[in-house]
Amino acid sequence: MREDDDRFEAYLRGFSAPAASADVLARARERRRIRVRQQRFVWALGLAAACVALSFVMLRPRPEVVPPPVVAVQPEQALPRNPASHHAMSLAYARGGAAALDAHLDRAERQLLPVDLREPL
Amino acid sequence: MEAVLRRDGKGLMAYARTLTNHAQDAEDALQEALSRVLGRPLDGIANLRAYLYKAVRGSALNGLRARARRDRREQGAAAGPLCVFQEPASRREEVEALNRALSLLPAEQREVVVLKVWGGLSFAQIADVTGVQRDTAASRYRYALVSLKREMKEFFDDARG
Repeated sequence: MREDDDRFEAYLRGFSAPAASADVLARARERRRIRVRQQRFVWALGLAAACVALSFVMLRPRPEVVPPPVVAVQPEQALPRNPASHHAMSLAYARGGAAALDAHLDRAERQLLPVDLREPL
Repeated sequence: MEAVLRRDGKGLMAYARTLTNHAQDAEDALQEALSRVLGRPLDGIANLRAYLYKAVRGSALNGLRARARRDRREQGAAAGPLCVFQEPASRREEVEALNRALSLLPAEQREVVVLKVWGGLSFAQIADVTGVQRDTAASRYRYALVSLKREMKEFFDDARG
């Protein structure tokens, strides 16, 4: 069976396709040259487009920057409404040291309402 | 590369014709494959022959896709009868019978038998080229060989009358 297959294969090898044209390799080389040239052109085009986009961004007139207005606020005006806040306590300490802070906390404590934790929130 | 083409040129053309079923497209696929291979370093390739067949396959399938699009645009030009082999010219009827027998095979069997018989590739190389398992390639080859034998036997029986 195996020998039969081998013989049949040998018989089949007696047939052949027509050969490729004689200049197939030269044409393949030419095709490659064209492809390389096309690739270079596409790269150059991409690079040029990127450069144009970049220069457009760089040369665009920048909007004028207006500095934010400085507001002079008196310490009394700037006093926050929440007396227990960090800012309020810092302010009190800055004004009168530890005694002022104690007094401030006393005032703040008086403003707080007692909360019954047994009641649902 | 010239030496490779001298040795494998006809096998590569047979494979390209098997895939494309078109003389000009086959030549085109071979040119395209060679142009791609020429740009790569060939030193690291274990088997240049299998590599070339694989390149031809890629180019031929790309060409087939392009042709399918073109045919759809031109309202479906039907492919002609398979014409892979033309030699020996002295046994024209036998050559036609073989082309006919090949055309009756499923495409995947046809591809394997051409790679094995006319390409001289091993089943492992065929598996690499076609992207199937080695055993699958071997199995397709056996089925193809049985079918070809049957068809050629019928041809000779008819010829004897």
